[in-house]
Amino acid sequence: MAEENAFSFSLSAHPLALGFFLGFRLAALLTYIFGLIFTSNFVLIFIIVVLLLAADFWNTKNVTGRLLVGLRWWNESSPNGDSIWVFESADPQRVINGTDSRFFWTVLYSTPVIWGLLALLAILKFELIWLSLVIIAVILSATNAMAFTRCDRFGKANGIANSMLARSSRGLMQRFAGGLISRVYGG
Amino acid sequence: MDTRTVVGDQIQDRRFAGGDTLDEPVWDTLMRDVRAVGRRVKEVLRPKVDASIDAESGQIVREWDLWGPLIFCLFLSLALSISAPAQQSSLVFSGVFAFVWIAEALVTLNIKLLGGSISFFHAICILGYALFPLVPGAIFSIIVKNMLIRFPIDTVLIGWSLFASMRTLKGAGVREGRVVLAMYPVWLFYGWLGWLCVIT
Repeated sequence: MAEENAFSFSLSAHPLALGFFLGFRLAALLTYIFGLIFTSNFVLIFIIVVLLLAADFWNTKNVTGRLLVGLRWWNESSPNGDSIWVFESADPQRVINGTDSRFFWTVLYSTPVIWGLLALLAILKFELIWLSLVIIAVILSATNAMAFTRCDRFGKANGIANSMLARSSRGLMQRFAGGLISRVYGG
Repeated sequence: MDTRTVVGDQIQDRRFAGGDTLDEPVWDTLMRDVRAVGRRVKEVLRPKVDASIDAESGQIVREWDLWGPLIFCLFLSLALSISAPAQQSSLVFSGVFAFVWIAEALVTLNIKLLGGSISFFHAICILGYALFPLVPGAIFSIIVKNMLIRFPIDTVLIGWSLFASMRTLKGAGVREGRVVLAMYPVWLFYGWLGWLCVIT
């Protein structure tokens, strides 16, 4: 019961940041999925979705991560040409709001999965011209997901992902196994 | 702060220990990046060759970002697709967009494989920012249909792009005899895009 309540906006410490975070991601997805209903101009939809994806990438990396969960990552070039990836985590004393954290990690991981499914769909429907756009989306959202996971090596991400997976798969397994067993033994 | 090296890139974990940028207002973050983009555009395109300023300018571009390349690439693709025949325009758009990014990656890979001591994203940043002169070229091609007028103007613009990118790459630290080998894909890259502006 407490888990359901934890996904409400009113408990968040940074509702505006959360709103923008969800807003950009949802806007990119919806524009891609429903854009063709409103206009037949491929170029226009492509540009809008790319700009939304870029805005979402920048926003997640530079604003959402540090405000909601106190994590940040970037890449520096050293003078001799090496590429340095830096993953920064906040002071352990910093209080991180539970709702923010749950929202952040859930949406962070589910976005690349959704775009991945859309990529599969585009391949199956043989729409290669849209596939280029979806691949960009997958790369950008997956990069953020992986980088923030790396920032949070000792932290909450694994706990939340594991608990969600366990709950969903337990429910599925129960229904599946229950039906199977009743059919086999019920006659 | 611990540092490890993985496939040639270093990875650092840092604990934020104070200072004000972790909790800064979003506006500050935004403005900082916007100003950085503006500085980089001016830096990559500045035609003056002054050795004493080079160290500082190197620092400015070394902090790379891909906003400039994205915006110029979008404008270029858009302009070229507008002046393309109607049934080809979405193909031209996505073709040019894909070409720019894939070619930039290949040119950078070429430089790295020749032993260039420049970071991958840094090189892509420079190549992307130096696309800027070709954007007015492509927009000009929408207005002027005569190839004979387009040709000299686009040649000048290609030259500007080449000059800007080569000056900023500065041979990218490849060995002496191989500088031309590393640079000629750059010439091909801008030359091809300039040619597209002429024939579109």
